[in-house]
Amino acid sequence: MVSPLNIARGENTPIEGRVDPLDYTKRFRRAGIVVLIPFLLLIGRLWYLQIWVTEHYQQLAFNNFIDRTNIPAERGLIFDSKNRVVAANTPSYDVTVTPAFFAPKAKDTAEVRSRIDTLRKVLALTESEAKNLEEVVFGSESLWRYEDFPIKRNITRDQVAQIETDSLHLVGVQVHATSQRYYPFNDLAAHLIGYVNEINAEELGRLDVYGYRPSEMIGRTGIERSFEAVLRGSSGVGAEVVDSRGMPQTDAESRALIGDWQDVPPVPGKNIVLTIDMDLQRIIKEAMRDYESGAIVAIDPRNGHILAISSKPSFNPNSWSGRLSRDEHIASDNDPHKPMLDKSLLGYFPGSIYKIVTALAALEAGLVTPEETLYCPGYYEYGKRNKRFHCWKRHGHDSVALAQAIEGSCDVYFYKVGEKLGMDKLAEYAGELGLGKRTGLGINIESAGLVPTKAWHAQNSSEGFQGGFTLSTAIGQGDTKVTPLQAALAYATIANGGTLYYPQIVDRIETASGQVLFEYPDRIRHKLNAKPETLREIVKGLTAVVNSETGTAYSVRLDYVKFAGKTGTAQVTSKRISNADVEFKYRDHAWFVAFAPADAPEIVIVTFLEHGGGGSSDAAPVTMEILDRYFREIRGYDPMQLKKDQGEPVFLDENAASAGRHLLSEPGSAEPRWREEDR
Amino acid sequence: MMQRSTLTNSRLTTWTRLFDWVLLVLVGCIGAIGFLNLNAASSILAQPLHIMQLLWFGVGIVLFAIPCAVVDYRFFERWSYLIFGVVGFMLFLVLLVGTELNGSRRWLDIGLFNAQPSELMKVAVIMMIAKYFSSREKRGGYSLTDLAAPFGLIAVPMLLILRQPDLGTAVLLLLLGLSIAFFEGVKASSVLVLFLAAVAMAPVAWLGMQDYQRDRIKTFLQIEEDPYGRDWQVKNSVIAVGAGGTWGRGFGKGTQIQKGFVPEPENDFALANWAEERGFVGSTALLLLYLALVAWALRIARGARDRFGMLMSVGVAALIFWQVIINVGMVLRWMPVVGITLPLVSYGGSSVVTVLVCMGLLMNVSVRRHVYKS
Repeated sequence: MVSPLNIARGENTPIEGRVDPLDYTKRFRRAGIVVLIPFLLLIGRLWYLQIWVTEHYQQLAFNNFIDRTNIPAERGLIFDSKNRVVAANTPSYDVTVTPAFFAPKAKDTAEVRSRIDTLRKVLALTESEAKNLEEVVFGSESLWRYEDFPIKRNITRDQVAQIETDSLHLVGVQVHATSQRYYPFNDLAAHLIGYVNEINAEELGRLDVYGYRPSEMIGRTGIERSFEAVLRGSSGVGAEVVDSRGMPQTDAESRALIGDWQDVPPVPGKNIVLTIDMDLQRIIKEAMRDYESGAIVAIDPRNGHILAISSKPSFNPNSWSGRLSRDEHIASDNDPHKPMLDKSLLGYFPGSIYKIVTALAALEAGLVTPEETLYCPGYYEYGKRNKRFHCWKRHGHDSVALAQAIEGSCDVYFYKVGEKLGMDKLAEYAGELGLGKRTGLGINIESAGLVPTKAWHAQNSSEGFQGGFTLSTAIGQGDTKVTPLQAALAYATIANGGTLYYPQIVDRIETASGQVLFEYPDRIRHKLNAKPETLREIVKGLTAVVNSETGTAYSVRLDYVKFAGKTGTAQVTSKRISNADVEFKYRDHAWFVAFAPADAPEIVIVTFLEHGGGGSSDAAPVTMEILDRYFREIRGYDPMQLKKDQGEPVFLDENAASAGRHLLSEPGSAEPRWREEDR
Repeated sequence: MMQRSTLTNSRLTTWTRLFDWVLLVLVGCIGAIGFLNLNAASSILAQPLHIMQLLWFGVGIVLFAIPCAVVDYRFFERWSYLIFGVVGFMLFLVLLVGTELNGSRRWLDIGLFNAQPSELMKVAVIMMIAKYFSSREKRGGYSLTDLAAPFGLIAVPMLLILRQPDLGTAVLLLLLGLSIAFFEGVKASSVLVLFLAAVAMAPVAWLGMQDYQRDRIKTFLQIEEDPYGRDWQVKNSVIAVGAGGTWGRGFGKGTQIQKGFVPEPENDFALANWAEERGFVGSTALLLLYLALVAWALRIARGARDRFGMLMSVGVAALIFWQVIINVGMVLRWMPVVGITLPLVSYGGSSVVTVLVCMGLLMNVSVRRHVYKS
């Protein structure tokens, strides 16, 4: 055998003390083979790694130094009906800290201390933010120490400059330019528009298929939530060269390593144009200034478009979009008026505004004719035990026909027709007007309201169904609940001659460049099964409410536009006590539903003041102010000119219409014309 | 006067005539590769280590390799137990007053620099074992009683080094002793007993290990998840080697090294750097150079004048062989990470000096192969 090392060959040197030279030759040959085999194995391994599967490892090496970066898509914008941006994106500079670089091995050294102090000073960190910083720096799990943790969002340009100047000292501190949601109108229509904030871990898992990434924003309420898929867009993919710690490498040689990589550009989200008018929203907000809680909805009765929808108290979506402090959050949670609830979509006792249901049912069922009068002595005795049901007007309305009953909100009239109709007939016509079911707005949590039936009472009332319930229901008391939006749509149905629309909040969807992708058509939910004369009769009564001297809202009429309406004051407790000295939560709800102009309605407004007092004393003046400003500021009406055109005498400055406004500005100082407890 | 000059002259003539140029060229080639390699890695290191390494080569050759080559190796033979004892004492000192770095106490601060006595112990063990066996040749191989004394002696520095802790070097000392013993021959029955003893001792050794040593072995065997990212580092070392391809990615262009994915590219993982930049051609060339060096050391052993020279050269061959095999095996993920350097390529003063001392001893044996006259 030829030794591969050729050690033994040609060697004849005698070695001192050798016993058997041949034995040595054998040993060296063996040693040579023992040495050779591992070397050959290693070379074989090198051949395998470097030639046979080298592409695989080259790819792995590429994947190591190329970091696929996420190029976030711009979220779609939201506009109001006049093309003003109500949800925009602005650049935000966010500060993050990488614990592994900021405080190596999480040791609290003097250097780390001085970094923390610098950050506290430059960023003006609050106590809780500073605490968060220390938790991040010293308390992060070792696995996460190379991640970037947000420390403060939306810092000023000055602060950015200071951090960059101090970058040699502030190791591991980075400023990221990101896109931040911005709501220029702050709390206006906040419930409708909603807000976004950072996706949480649970959602990341659940929404995995949609490709959400950590720290991505996701819609939480309102349009932002319901139209998340439309607004979001899809992010693109970029690439950058990084070192083993994930630090981007920006030198030319490193960038050349990217090779022919092409970025996948992001697709921006779609823009949404709403039907609402922010001017009207602002007017509504201002009109509600004296009331703490409530909701106002304005819709176009001709197509179901929502012109304004407002819930009070509101919140600032700019704060809620990731910049909310702990204290603000706690304050919001503890607020008895529940600012985060969208009250325009929650059900409340309607009071007298519900009487149109009874009126509609009575006329359509043929129980009364429009001319037929019923006598109101101020109470109605019902049942075998002659239990007295009072009218809000203690001395009675005398004899009233339907339109007059509406005008004066005569409870006794509606007790009487209600009794004849029965519970389920009332419920049937409530259903005709869309009550008791969700309107299908599709935004926020919407209540279906409640239209009680005999069956419902049998199941839910402790003593089962009682005849007296029918009487209460006929005037909107008892267990009936209606949402402000439902009320608006129901009155719109009466006002427009019998068409119940689905409410519409989004007018159209556009691409980022403004090309219309989809326009939402008007959608009719239901054609009212009622004679035109019936509706005319009800409208007559509603018009008289505002325009007849005996109407419950005569004080708030406008002299240049004739509008119709209905007051409502809903008792929330059976205790009969006056509003002034009662705990807030036991005060009556004040309602006023109006549509204008009365003969050709273009707007329906529902004013609901939660525990706000009386329908005519509180809700009606608020509504009147909104309508007045709507016609003058938005529709451009000139009251003086209109009155001249109509050939009516021009009132003095202190005209009747201003009485309501007077009441608004100084509540209680002026004696309201109708200090009633109409219910 | 005349006589003396003639004598000197004749010695010089002898040196030039018998000088082992092959050994010098092999060491020079490997050293040059190490220098180039460090130069490339220096771009991501804090210091210009290639310059430092050059300095160590200078110091190692002038102060260690040349004296080790010139002084008659029988001088070392005479004092080998003493050398073993002195280095052993230094190891003892390390445990008492050594400098600690990365959780290990391996260095002695001797003013100018930190010396690593465990490196010198490799040479001391080679000399001690060579001396022991040189006078105890036995036909048919050694029995356990023959092996007890030398391995008992090796056990002392082994335990001291394990305490540092440095599993790799301790195991290497044992491998050196075993290599020489097996080269000489061990009785088949003794081999069997040793094997069974090793199997029986494995659990004891396992319990005696430091936690991090156990972790390394566990991750290598993929018994458990990789808690400290060590296996991640070794995987990246393999990626570096594989990405090198046939011809390599070029000087300073290996992304695995340059972007910091491979740990210690100047030290334990020096080969990953070389393999990534120079590819299969370069890394195979380096392995062949090592193979040639080991073969040449065996050839020198074969031609040695006496048994001590022969066994010492075999020991040096074993040292180079084991360090290369373990280090490369580690880089290619065939062995757990145990901290064994690649001779003359990895950075480190003690490591370079130790290998250069060995090379000096080889030269010593080589030059004196025929004409040694005292």
